[in-house]
Amino acid sequence: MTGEIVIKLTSPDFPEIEAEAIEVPLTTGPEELKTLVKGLNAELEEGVQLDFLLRDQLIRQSLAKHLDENAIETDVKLEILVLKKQDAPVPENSYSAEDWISDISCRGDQVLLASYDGTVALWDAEEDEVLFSVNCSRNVDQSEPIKCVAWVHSEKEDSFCSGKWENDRSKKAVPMYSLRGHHGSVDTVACPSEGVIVSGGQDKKVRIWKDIADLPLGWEELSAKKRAKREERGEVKTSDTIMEGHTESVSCSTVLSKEEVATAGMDNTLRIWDLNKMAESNTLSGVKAFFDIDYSKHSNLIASGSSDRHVRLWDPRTTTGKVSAQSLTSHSLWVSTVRWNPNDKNQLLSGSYDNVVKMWDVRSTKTPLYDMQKHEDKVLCSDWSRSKLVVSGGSDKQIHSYRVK
Amino acid sequence: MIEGATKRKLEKISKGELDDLKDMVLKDKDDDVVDEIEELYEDENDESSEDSEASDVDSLEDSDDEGEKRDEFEDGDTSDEEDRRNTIGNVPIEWYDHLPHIGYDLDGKKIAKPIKNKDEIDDFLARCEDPDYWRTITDRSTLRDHKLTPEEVDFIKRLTKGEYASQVDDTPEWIDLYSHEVEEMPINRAPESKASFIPSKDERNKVNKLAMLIRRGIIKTKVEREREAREKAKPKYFNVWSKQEELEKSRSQMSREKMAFPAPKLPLPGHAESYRPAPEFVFDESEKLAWEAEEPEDRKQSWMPQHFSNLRTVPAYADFYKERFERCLDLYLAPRQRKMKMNVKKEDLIPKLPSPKDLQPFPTFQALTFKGHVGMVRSISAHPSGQFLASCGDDGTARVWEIASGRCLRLIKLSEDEKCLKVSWSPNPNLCLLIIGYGNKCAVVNPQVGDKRIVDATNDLIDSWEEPEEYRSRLNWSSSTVVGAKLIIDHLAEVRDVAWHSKGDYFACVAGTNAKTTVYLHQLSTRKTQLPFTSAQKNVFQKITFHPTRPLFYLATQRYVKVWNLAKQEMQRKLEPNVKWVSSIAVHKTGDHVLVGDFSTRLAWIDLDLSQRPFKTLRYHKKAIRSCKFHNRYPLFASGSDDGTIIVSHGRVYNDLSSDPLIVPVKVLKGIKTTKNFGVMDVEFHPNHPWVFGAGVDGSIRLYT
Repeated sequence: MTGEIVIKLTSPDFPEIEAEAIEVPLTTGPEELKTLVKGLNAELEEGVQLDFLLRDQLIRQSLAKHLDENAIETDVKLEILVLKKQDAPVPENSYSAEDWISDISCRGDQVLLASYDGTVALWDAEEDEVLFSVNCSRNVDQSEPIKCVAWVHSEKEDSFCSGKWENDRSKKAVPMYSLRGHHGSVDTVACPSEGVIVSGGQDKKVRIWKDIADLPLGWEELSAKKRAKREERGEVKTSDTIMEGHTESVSCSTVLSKEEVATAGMDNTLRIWDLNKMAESNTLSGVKAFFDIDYSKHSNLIASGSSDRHVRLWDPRTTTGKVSAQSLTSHSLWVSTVRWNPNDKNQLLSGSYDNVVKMWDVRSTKTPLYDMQKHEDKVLCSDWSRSKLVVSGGSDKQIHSYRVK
Repeated sequence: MIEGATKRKLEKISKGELDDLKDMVLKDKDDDVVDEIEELYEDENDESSEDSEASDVDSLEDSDDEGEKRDEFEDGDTSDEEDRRNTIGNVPIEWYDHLPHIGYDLDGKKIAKPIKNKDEIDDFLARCEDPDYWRTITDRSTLRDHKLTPEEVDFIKRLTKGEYASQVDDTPEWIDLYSHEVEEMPINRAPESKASFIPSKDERNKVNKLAMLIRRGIIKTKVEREREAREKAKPKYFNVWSKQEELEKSRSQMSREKMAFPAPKLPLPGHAESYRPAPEFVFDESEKLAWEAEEPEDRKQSWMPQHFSNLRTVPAYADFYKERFERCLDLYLAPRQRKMKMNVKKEDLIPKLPSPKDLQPFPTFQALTFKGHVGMVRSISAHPSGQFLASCGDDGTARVWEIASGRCLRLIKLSEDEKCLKVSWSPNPNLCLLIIGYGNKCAVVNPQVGDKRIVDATNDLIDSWEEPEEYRSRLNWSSSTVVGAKLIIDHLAEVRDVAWHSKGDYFACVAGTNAKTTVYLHQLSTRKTQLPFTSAQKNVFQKITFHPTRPLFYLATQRYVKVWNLAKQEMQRKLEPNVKWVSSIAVHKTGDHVLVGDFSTRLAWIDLDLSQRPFKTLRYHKKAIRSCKFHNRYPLFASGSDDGTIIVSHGRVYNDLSSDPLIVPVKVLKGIKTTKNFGVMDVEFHPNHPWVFGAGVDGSIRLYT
């Protein structure tokens, strides 16, 4: 395709470059557009990268190919939004664990990590300091892997052996409760609100544990021996509500709101549960087994990683279970983890068994923003904290943290 | 007048016969004997002649009486009443020629011969004068003249005409008894028959037949025949100006026209053939010599251009007849048959199979690698829940892996020097048990993965067993000293294959050498071992497996697969997969289809409902097939081979018996490295997903999704 088209540049960052209409050849790519912007705006700082957005799609190739792929007509004036490009994440610290990292959860700069050897540790990524490390295995001979971990607002929470520890100031963790009921391993936990825990596992059931905080602790009344036993085992509680629906094991969950939780499993379905009614409110059917899902409040979309190479985006409000048109394809193996940027509606993090963590802008479905290739084996977990920290862990027993500006 | 006319008629018509009669009479007259007896019988003769003359004169009425009288003698041709006066009987009259008498009368007296006194002149006179001469004959028996009566004449006349001898009225008056007119009274008194009231079946058949023939147009009705005749009588006109296409052509004509091959055209004459060509066409001396030196067949042009000043001087073309003849030869010797070329696309020759895209899902790429084994992985088995995978290999270890992450959860070191050949999960979902065959032993292992309750229940089940009284077992079950294993069953020979029954209580083992094998049937709950097959059966069993639902047991020998009925304790069928050396068998979840892989690259699909021979044989591997498996949920089967590939095929089985299974190879999965002619040692499907595992000789297990 040859010829020229008329474009109009707009930009909230650089109001001075706004021109009425410019005619550019169709072979123009992002580099040429940048040169054009530089020509218009002499004050552009050195080293600033720019992104060009055309009808909610980032331009990553020549205009001709982009228009062709997105079926945009060429005979009208096209409005191109000029944005400052997201800076590359800066590698910060790394943490070497004893065994594979199965799950991580961030709160600020503090990273809670679960490991296959049964330890749960709290690592301060900023200071590169281990605040505490607890082995939860009951059996000394055989380590019991911890598959998932999550913060319970003020506390932290961990599952597989379904335990919960109180974070002590003295850099020591004490188990508070032991939530028993799951048959087989617990693969996911989520905390939609204070005192409510949702968990799913190999027994295909989603269990809801309520009023955790209301349990009488009564530490003062217990004898020292009992207290020690309690410390070791935690308060035992059986599950309040069992929600059945999944036909295979439940592998991942995410909190939609205080009343809604989404779970997905190996039966290729994504189910949304209403916690008030204690019932399933929606089912979205996929074609591949789910490994991880995450929900973004900003974009109202659920991102999923599954047993193929794509990161898919779902709209939980649709009743037809129809896949959102977008699927982000760049990984070469299964996508094991996905996380939205909690501050931005377009940015997404995905980790895969091909050892790469990718940062995405969902407006560019073919090309990710950045690849983070520090891992030497499968990436199993990742998280994106509000303090702009990106953390990922994998089967190379490493946790790498990046700072995103 | 009437008499005269009849006489003339008689003369005319019966001339021949009458001449004969007269000749007879004349002959008699010529006889010499006549003269001798002439005198003796003169009187009588006179009298008779007078009588005859008198009777001649008599009217017709009178002669009737005489005729009637004579009729009495001559009526009927019986010989005994021929002549009352001569009693010689029916003997030739010639016998009396030399005698004076001609016979004897009733009284025995001789009848003398009449005297013949008539000579030729008398005869001539009589002929001229006697009007009755024509009807006078001589009676043979009496040698007397006899004048024929009118009745006799009439009789002779009728005979000569070929009519009846007697006067009969052959055209009687016709009485119209059965006419078309309906009589008032019945002619016949008989009551009408029953048949006259019943429509005739025979007639109906005849009418039907006629109607059928008319309908088919074989018989034409009168109207049709008339119409056809009218059509035929009409003059025919042809539209001579109509186009050729409008005329109806016969099929042969059409094909002939279609195949018509035009005769090769003669080239048009050029300038050189002109009678006065331009000077450059005319040969000069050197060209002329060259042209003449060439063979006539090799010449570029067969004639020499000649220059004539005018047309008048052009002579007759010398080669005219020769060229015409060659042209005719060209025309009739030219091949005129158009060659029909078959236009077949190579795609059409391949059987139509559905596209692999329509048969999804099936594994397409390698997703995970389970690394850890040292040396080749011999066997793999997926847990029924789909969460774990067990494997064992040449390093004497068995490992349990988490499928989703590829994490090795358990490592059980069974032996230092013996190879683990076979591992199998218990199909019972309430037990967490592995059977591992290594060396001469079979280990029952609780790997302690998955649901804690099930693990504890399994431990309880094994630990709580107490030896009952009268406990007998063919093999020794002992508690294990190996870390991780619960029980060890010591077989007396190398354990080659292990198979679980679908209920999870029984499992079977094949142990032995290449020369002799024994099949053991173990029961876990009672810790008993049976030998289901008598030692008389000297088969070397390669592989064994249970029927998923019925009490059947499949045993693969070197060439055949035997189906053993465990309930009846008898062999039910013998399958002939037409392979050289069975390496693996797999039974479909319905139990009606069996896959047999062999060491010579063949994979046979046997439909037990059809026959004991293969329904289809797949030969896609380049080397020996090590393992084949069916998927329990998806219509898939896979085979792993020594060439390092796993071929995944779509094998859909239909519920109705009329349609055959649909078998389409969909994917060749590569990635496992081959060493020392070994490649994929075992394949296994994930129980819930369309994923396939391949155990490699390089110590890795690969998951394809």
